[in-house]
Amino acid sequence: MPQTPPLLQVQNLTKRYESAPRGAPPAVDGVSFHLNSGETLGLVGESGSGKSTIGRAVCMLNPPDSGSIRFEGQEIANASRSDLRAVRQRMQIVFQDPFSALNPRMRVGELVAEPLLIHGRYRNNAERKEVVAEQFRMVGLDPDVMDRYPHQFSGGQCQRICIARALILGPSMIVADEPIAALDVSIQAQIVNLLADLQDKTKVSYIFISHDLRMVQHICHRVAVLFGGRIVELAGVAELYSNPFHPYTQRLLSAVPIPDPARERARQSSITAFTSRNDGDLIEVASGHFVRQ
Amino acid sequence: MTDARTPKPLLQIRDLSVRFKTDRGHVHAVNGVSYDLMPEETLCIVGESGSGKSVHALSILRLLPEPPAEITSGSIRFDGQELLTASRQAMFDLRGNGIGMVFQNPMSSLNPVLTIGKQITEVLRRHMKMDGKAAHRRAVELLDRVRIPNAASRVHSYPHEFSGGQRQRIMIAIAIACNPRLLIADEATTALDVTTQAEIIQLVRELKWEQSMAVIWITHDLGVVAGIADTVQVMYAGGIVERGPVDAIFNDPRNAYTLGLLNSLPDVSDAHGARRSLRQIDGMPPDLHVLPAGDPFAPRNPYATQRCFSEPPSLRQAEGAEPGHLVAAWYDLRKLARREGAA
Repeated sequence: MPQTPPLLQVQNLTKRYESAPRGAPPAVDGVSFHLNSGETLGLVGESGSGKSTIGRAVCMLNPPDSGSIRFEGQEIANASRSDLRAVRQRMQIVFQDPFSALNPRMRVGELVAEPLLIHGRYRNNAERKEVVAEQFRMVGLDPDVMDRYPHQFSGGQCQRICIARALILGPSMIVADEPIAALDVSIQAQIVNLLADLQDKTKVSYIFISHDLRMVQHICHRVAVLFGGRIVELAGVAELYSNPFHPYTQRLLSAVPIPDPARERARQSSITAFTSRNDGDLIEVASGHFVRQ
Repeated sequence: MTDARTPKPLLQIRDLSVRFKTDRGHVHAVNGVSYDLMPEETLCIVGESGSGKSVHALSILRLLPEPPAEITSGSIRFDGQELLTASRQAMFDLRGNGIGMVFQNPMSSLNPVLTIGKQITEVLRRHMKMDGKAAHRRAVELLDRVRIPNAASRVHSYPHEFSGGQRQRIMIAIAIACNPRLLIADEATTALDVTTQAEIIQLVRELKWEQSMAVIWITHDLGVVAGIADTVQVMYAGGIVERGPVDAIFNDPRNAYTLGLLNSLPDVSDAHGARRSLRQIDGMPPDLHVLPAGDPFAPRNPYATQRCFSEPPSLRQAEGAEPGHLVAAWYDLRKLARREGAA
């Protein structure tokens, strides 16, 4: 057990969507994990594996059906709206599509200032403006652009604005749900570097949801592999990528194309179907490395 | 059989330029693109949004809405036939028969109110003049070939009854139904999961082999490129900035943009090392309303020379590189930089 309690402790999280066909397993089925302060936890898996549902559930955007979510020592899974309002200053979410995440009719300066207004911080306009300007500089944007509208920015810049908006209240956790999937290759590295720099500066924790297993390997400290709404493997990033235990993890990693023609020719990816549902328990096979039997 | 020593290109593009009319003037999407594609060659075109890679592919099939699009110059010859002056009827015949195309989003390419059997047989009856029975038999064969389980019964299903990966397989079945000589895939696996992507790539490799097709594969994923390309062509701001055999492009890139793309990828072999910054390309792609005077990548290029800002470089054989390795650059990258982590 860690010395200090983790920032986020999720136990037995379960969520079933009403629109799901009868008899289908829940979207998220008894998921447990924790997130330490200043840490990045990757959630990987294919579409439908439940990774986004988990991300939204821990922010209580899609409250779970059952299970416990302890955030900064407080149980939030059944918290009241007003309690959640306070908690949300400490946890934020960044989405995949930065354009649809920003109100097109608001100036980007207002968009970044909005969380401050909602939570009643800095009633003094000049002071608030200075905080927003500082936030723009933090994410690599010139504060002079504060009066422009979202459509005047590129996808990468809009994602920077979304990150500025998420960070302005000084949260301890950000859920980043496919934050680079909609961006161009040459811009993805910029945003990943920005997220890493901001973590170094502010000690914010990330839940990094992505299907880009190379980027996950680069930015995450620990990774949870999801299949059918369950964690099938969870380990430190180096351990998971060099020593994957679960057949599904092996299959997923073997499918990642390597940007090296010689290695691509040499390798045999195992693309056999994987369908078993894995009803066993998570077993610790090495320190901090859990695999479902 | 054609003579192997002097093969004729299947597709010849010369000086192709395409622009779009907008409220703010013209966007110059493709600017003087020229290249040859040989029969059975797999050409991967790499570039980001606005590089002109998709627009140039759509102009091969004459699928661009004209207006607002306008092909301002150039020639596209497929198997000796000029496509830019071809009649509508000739283009109808060519699409499907000569050239098949697969797009990124299969759901928007399939008709939601028709069974997939109907959509495949439509192509076969139109192009191959098959009767209903023969077309149905062939449709089941095709579905089976692209590994749709229980093809004989699934042929009666509607698009929404399939998964994303299966829908893309169905699109491939339609694209190859008439044995085209060229398959164009535009970000065909971008929306799919990695494992599904690996399956689709494997499928296209097999089909290419069986049907002796050439393939133009448009993608931004350099991992996919490394796995399937014979030739790689890197596009930026509507032009080709580098082109060559796949190994040459990955091991000996000569354009700073190509190098930047390769370096911006996380190093997967470095699993145990400390998390270090990715080598990012600063800035962003240019606004194509006004074409820059020089090399469009110059403002983002740490190796740019004075000349890069004033005069556009043309695509030419790279010095001391393999024959056919072409680059558009005024600088010699070998003296300036090297690929991170490459042997």
